Amino acid sequence: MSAVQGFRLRLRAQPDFRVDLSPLQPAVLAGLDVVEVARLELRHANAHVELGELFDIDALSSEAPELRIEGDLRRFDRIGQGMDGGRLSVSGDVGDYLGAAMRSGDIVVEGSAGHLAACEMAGGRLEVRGDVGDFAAGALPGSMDGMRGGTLVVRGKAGARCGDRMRRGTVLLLGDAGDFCASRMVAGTIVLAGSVGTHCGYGMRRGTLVFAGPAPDVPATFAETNHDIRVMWALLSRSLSKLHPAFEGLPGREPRRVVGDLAADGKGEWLIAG
Amino acid sequence: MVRNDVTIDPTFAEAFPMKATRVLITAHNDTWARHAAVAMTGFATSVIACGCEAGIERMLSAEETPDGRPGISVLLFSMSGKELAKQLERRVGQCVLTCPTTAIYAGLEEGEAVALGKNLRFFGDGWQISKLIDGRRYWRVPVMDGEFVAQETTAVVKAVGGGNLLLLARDTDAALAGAEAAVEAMRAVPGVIMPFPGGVVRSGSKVGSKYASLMASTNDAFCPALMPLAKKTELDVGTRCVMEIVIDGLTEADVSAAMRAGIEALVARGGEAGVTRISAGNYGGKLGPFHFHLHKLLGAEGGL
Amino acid sequence: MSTIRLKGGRVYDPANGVDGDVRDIGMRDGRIVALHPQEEVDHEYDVSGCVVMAGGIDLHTHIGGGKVNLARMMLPEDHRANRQRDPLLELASNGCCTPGTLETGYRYAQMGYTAAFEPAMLAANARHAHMEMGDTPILDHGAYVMLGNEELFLEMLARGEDFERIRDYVGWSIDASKAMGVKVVNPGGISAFKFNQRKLDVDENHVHWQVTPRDVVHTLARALTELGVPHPLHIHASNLGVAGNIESTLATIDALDGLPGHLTHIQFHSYGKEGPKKFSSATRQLIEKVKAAPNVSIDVGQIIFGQTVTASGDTMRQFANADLGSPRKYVGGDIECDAGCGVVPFRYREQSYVNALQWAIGLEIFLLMDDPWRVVLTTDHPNGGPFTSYPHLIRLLMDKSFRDEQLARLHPDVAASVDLREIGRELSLYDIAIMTRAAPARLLGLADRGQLGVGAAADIAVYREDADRQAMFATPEYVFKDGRLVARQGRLEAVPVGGTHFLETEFDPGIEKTIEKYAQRHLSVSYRNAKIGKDELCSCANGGALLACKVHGRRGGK
Repeated sequence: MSAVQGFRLRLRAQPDFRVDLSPLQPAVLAGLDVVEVARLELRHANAHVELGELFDIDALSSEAPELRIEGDLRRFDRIGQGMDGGRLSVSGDVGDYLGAAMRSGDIVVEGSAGHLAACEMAGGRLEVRGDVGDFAAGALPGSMDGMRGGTLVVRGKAGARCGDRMRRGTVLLLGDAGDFCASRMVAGTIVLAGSVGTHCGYGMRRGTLVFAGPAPDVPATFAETNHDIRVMWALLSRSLSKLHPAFEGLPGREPRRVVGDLAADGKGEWLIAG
Repeated sequence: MVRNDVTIDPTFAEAFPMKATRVLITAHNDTWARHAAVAMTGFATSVIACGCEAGIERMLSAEETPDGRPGISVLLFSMSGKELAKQLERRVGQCVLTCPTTAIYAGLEEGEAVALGKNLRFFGDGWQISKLIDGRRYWRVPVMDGEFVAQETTAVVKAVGGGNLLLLARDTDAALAGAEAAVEAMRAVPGVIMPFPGGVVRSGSKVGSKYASLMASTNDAFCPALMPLAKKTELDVGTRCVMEIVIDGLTEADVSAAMRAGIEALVARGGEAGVTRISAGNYGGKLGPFHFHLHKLLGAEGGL
Repeated sequence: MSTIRLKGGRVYDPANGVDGDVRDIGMRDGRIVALHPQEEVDHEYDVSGCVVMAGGIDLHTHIGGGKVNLARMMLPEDHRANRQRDPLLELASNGCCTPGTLETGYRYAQMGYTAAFEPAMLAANARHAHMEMGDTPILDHGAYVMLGNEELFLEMLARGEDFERIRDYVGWSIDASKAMGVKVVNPGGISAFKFNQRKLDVDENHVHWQVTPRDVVHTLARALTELGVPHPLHIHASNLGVAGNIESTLATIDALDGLPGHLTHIQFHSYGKEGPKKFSSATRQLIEKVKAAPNVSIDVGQIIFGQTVTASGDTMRQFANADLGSPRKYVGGDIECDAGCGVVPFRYREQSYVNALQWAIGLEIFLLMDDPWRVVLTTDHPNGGPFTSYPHLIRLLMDKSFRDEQLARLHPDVAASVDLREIGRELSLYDIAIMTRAAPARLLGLADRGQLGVGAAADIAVYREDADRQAMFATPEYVFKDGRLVARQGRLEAVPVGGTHFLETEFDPGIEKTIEKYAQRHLSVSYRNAKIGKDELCSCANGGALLACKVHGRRGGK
């Protein structure tokens, strides 16, 4: 007897209001059958709706817990929130809080994500093939720390405040970043292949921004250091080069280093390899 | 057992459990990596008074190191994890942090974590910063030549200390030449160090002494000067000089491999070269859990 | 309006000396009435097997004003859990130690409480506090205006202004801010903090104004007595939380010199400095003093283990505690040189020696004090713990074996040594009814609340008898507010707007010239805007009833 490990959900029709998909955890659903999954209650505005009313559900036989969701999920928030293990993929766009506070596992979204994607993410890998909204890898309103572990890969663009209050982990951004990228960043690494908007690194305390693409304008609150950083660059660039083909050439470059935000201790760094 | 005119005693070396770690030192070039390693492994011949036994395992090419620079691999052994941690911190702090251009990394992945750069970072007086890369934390301490990069921790594993070979030779020249050749062959074995000067010790010891305060004293059974005097001697009249090679290894197999390489090197030179007998030190098998029988190392009755 | 009969309940009404008699209670038009047993009523509730008490009154709970909002902002995680709620009556509101206004009203009412008083309303912030309390549904509410640290008062005291002028100023302040009483926080100390003093003992001079906390306490207590303010001066004494602060507490009681005073969250002021950790219980000294001082009443400020937030006007002490914050956050503020504000999130831990002892001290005070009429049950919400822990606290007081179970979990040095181990007393339902209803009503001068006599307001809580007192007090069978059923078995039935209690004082309006001059010289708001009129209060209070309270006719002087 082989237990069902995964499910394919196909969106039947758009819901009237926003739906909270956080109960859809691959590792939790792996032990259920199709009927049980169809009965899962989801918050739908102020009321509840059963999963089966919105989606057609098929069992998938897979090696590990897996969820494949197909459809335009822009009205569906909190996909993979708090996810701990398993694999989750979405064929279209998704709503807000994608992968928020996820701890482990793998999420791939073929489309774009709304605001607060990967916010307070603690582990695992989250890839968005399209764009992400504001506060990606950031903090929930009022929280001290944003992303605190794992890897976020965004193939498209990011909105404003990407990496706001980020504390740990790695963000790879292949498109452009919006304004206030890495604002109030506490630590961690953000690698940018595209350009950044205004006020990049605003209030940044520690952490590393690697500019693999166009060189940014260095704000007045950042200052150049001229020392030999080849040791750290070798360690970092070798690691990054393995994460995505776009960064394969990094170890061969010799970046400039500026530190800041001097208004917030100045222990953050920008490594400008472009 | 006699091989190529070299007599191999039917005895065994007795060894003890120790705690060990490996660290990798890199530098701008291998000269400066070696300077750091030599200083760090200095005065580390015996745990009796040095706190640890340490040595250079081998040089590392740029391709083998985490940061792509030439490096060197160092092993440290101690009787307890706590003492090892203390020695590691002192030696890295005084000999690697201080040495131009160096960086230091863990050389073992698995094992109990002990501080490497974790406490040394405070030298940075608040200017230190850390970076977590692929699950490993590195500390970056601003120093006058740039920054000292040290991995936060390294791993400590259970290891084996006190493997040994005794070389009984015709005279001093022959003993030295034989010992040098054996040590060279043994250094090619990974995971071991020969902690004494040049890898060789001439003051082999026995347990106990006529003086109550001493734990160990000269190994009278192997002292040529005491051949006519000692209660029991292991020597014959043709033996005028004995030397010992002590081996610490990360595993029992590493120590075996090193001892085998040493014996094979001596056998290859033949009894004519002056090392006529190979023996080993033990305490009757009661003190140490690891026994390296010389005959078994050579593949029991066969081989050679 | 309808007539209601509660039939066959056991009634605990200490204000009228009723101790568990089985009798019916009648209500008509929001008031308690005597109904003839044969009289037809619109609704009759069979409450046999239930305990009937007046609605609970919390006389010290931080439910409105700037620091409450700061606390909410500092603990966003407290608001993220999505609790199941009644979709028809309850609007979205959350939080446990920093509940939103709506949540505050809902949860209090569901526990059988019908009135709550904000103890630390800054005069400059009074409008906001009233608005926030007006937004708190169901509960009646009121506030004490914070005096004793504002520049004008200290200046008048320092220059030896005629006492009558100071008294008029106090009367004006109560009237202008529509307060129910006056609270003094760390007398003179909040101001001293701004002059770089980091502690201020009762007989220590404020470096600038050269007045002592003793002067401040005595002057205010005398002013309130002469104004005829029913609620005694509400005193948050000097050196809150400091080891050995019992000295300050005893000295503060002496400073009253026989005048009425209410020492609030007294648990935080009852520490000795004996023992290996230089921190010990001074409960016995305190109780001895309070027993001998009938002019003094107290509330406890019991701590409850778990996450909470401490929000206080005591900038000096909160600044000192900032490093203990968990999560490590701190906000301190000054508002128009009126008073201060300090907010520090805090987690009380059973395994902390200090916290464990604080817990034991609080319970000892409840259990050793012989006169329940002078002890009010509070956790100083949220400073000692959220008000939602009252049922738990009641069980601790009524159930010795439950108390011992909790005691065994404490830091071993505390569990092995505290006096609490030896105290076998279990409070009765009558005692609880005093401490949570009758005593606070009496201390506040609420003639028609906290009791079930004919003519009183029909604020009534009906609890189903249960040996587990925590379960019993957490979910009353019925809760009536002004004769209207507002909660049944933990579910809301109606969400009326609560009324505002405030005091109407008499004073010589000539004092306004002094205040105007001061405001023009120093303040950013116009003097003319300082005063809240009745119409404005009504709109602040969300259209709720204005429950004016008259002063006693005891005015002396002149």
